[in-house]
Amino acid sequence: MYYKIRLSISLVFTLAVLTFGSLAKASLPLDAPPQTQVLFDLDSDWKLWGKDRGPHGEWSANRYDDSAWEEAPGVVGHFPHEQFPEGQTGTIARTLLEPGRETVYLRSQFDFDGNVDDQNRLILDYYVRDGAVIFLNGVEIGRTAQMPKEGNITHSSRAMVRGQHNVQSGFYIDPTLLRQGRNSIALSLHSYDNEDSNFIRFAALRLTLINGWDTRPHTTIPKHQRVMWLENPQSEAMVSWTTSAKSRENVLFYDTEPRRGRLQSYAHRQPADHSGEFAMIRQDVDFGTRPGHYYHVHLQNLAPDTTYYMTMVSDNEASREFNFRTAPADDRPIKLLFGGDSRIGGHRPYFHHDRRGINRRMVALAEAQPDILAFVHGGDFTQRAHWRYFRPWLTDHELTITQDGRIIPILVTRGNHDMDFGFEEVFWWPGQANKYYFHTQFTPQISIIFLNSEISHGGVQRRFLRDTLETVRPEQRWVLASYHRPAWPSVRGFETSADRRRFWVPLFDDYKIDLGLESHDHALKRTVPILYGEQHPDGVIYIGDGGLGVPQRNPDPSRWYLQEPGITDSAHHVHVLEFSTAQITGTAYGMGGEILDHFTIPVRDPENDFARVQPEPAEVIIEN
Amino acid sequence: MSTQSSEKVSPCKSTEVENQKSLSLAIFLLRTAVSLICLGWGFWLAARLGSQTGAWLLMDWQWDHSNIGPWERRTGVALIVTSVLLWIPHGWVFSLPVALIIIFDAWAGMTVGGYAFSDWTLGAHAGRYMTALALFIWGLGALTNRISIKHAEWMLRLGIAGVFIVHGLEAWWQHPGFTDFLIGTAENIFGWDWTEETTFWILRAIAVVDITVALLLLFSTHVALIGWLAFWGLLTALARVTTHGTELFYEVMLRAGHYLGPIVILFLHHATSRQSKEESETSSYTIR
Repeated sequence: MYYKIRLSISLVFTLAVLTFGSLAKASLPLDAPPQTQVLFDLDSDWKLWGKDRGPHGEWSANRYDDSAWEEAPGVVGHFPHEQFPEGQTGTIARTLLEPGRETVYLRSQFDFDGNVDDQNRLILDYYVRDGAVIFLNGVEIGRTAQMPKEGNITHSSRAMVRGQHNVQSGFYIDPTLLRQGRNSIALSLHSYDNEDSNFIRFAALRLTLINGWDTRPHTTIPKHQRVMWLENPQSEAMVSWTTSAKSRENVLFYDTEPRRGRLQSYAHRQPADHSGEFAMIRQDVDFGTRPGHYYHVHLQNLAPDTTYYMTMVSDNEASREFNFRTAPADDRPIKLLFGGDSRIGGHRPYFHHDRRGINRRMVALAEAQPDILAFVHGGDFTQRAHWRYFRPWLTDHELTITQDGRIIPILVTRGNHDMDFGFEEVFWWPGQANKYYFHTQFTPQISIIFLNSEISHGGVQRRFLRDTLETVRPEQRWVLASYHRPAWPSVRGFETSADRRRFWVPLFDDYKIDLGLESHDHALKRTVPILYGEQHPDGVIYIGDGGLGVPQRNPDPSRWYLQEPGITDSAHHVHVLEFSTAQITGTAYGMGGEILDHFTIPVRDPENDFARVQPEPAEVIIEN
Repeated sequence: MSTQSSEKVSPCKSTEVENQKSLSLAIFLLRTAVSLICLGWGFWLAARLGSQTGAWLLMDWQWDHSNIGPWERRTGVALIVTSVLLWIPHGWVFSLPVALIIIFDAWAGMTVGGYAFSDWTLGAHAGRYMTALALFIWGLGALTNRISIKHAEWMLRLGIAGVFIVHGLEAWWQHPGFTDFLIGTAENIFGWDWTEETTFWILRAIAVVDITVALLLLFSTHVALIGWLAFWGLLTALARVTTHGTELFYEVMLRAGHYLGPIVILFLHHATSRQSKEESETSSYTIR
């Protein structure tokens, strides 16, 4: 009996550790205080190149010979006294730059004799006006918002707008970029191309290595501006932003005319409907993540096809003016961006080159094609929906804002890595709780049904899908479905997708939807048209499978549904979908702007059992 | 059968023979369970269905996916081969790496996440790795004559209890996969149209039963209890097939510990309890 009791106690203990260990970790107290080491400070000295032409060679590299460069004690600037944000007033520029120096280069070196590991945070704060590109040991680590978001920066490149806040505070850099011994920090500075302002106002930079959590001062400067749509993009939107310090008064000023940030001129103001502090678990704290506070303003009764200009204000800090456009109420052609899987590695929640690269591609597409209305994200935003992952995602997402401040509204599909509470904090919507399946009516003829592949497929959600399809299919020209886990995977085992094929695909087939938007597998795919498990001219085409920066996998091209005219590839990508009265035109763009796939899907004929009007369901032109 | 026994003095020949039969059957079933786990897991990997370890290497270690796939397939083939090697003399040693692979993959699943209740994976997969560990413990005992069969039995009891408790908790909190198993099976087998509300209460009942029988297993090996555990273990393993079809047959194999494990416990327990009783009377009987 004693033996049984002893083993029973062991069992209970073991199970408690196994099942609740991870939960218990969240409530442990903080341990050792952080150790902060400033590697390069605001007033550190520089070497300066300010000639009419740029320096030769790899000027940002560690071993570059800068002996011909001028000595330039920091801070470098135009005015002897300059007021930096965050309370650092009266900073004295020790190197004065005269007008006419439109591009200058700074580089400096510092020694580092420590080791870096996962406990280290390397943080860049920069104070620059107007524009700059920053390098650590020859690797670009930052680019101010005033500079073009992509492409090479040359000596003649100019800041595209005049800097306002000029501060990027708390930018996490991959600490493994640091080297033992001598390191180089370099930046090219670019003035705004304007006759009244062709000088560089100031440049200072701080690089801090923290072992532990981040203790820098917090501010209420609005960041992470985003607009979310749900069911009624013609009349409703959620405008959200973040601050690092808690703000008591959070108001959105908005109008249908640009007011350039003059708050008293805006016709409307609306306080945040929902706000709070992003919940942090122990791992967030251990990683040194700065706290964040979210603010959501639920705009209703908006006018269709109208541009709204808005400025977010948290306490006394105001954002620049942004804008977004509501969906049209008529049957005009529209375009959407679609892509999924923007998560990055598990214990490396830094800003990520691939994710930033694809975000830059998205904004380039939005700049070139102003009729792009919104961005459908196919899910798996981050590795886990915890703040240490979402904070860099939100910062990277800022790159999708166009130069003129246009925010592309996002529609979210919940993925398998989005199941933690942080998702509901970032993408809060009244009444959604944790379900996140809904029907979006973009225009009177375009519907997308968003499904949640992380909850029961066969229960209430299937009834919702059936009811919605029954309503919208007979009435509307284009009906799509977006969900994260695929029904027709390009990489993972076919059998692992049985749930979707068991509960949803029969309804897709019965009601002959036009396009399935899938993600999850980390590859690019377009299936052949599929009807009741077989290739059929009137079948449903499925595209995806997730390439917004996540490491790509190698697909299995031997699967029958990926044969020509279907395609599959391993490449980061984002789709542009153009809806017209006759067809959907889809184009998958790679990170460099190359076209990876191009297809058209003819409209269905409701008088002929929704058969495709043309016999060929997809005309395929692949250009690499 | 490489079950060994060393006999010093036997007070009752028929009891000894019965014990030997029970043990032989128990070890046969234990090997079968581990073999099925190896085959199920091996087919899974060889068929490119992916692993949590692969996801961990891709995401956390930034391995190129073209390097991960071949490693997964090699591991799958190795597991299929292991399912045969387990039957050769001293083949039980292979059950240790099998257990370690399953534990590591469960840990990777906890780390990478991306599925419901991923934080509990180590508990949810306890029936798999504890079955393999039980075989290893038994083999080690047979080899060294130091570890008793009681330890192997308790490894299994802990593993099965762990699975039932974790699955019971998942059922209580409405694991979406369980909901769909119920809805899909009810539709496919009986033509019933169950709502999610119906499955809510069924899952609550299942949760209570699962946790209760798991706790009872710590104190009893009554044949009715064992019968229920084996029946329910088989039924829930088969739910993959009854919901989605036979294409998911390896999911049933993977869970062999859930339905064969309880039967092994029964045979091991009865053999060793008879042994203990006789030992207390004669102190002369040893089973390795």
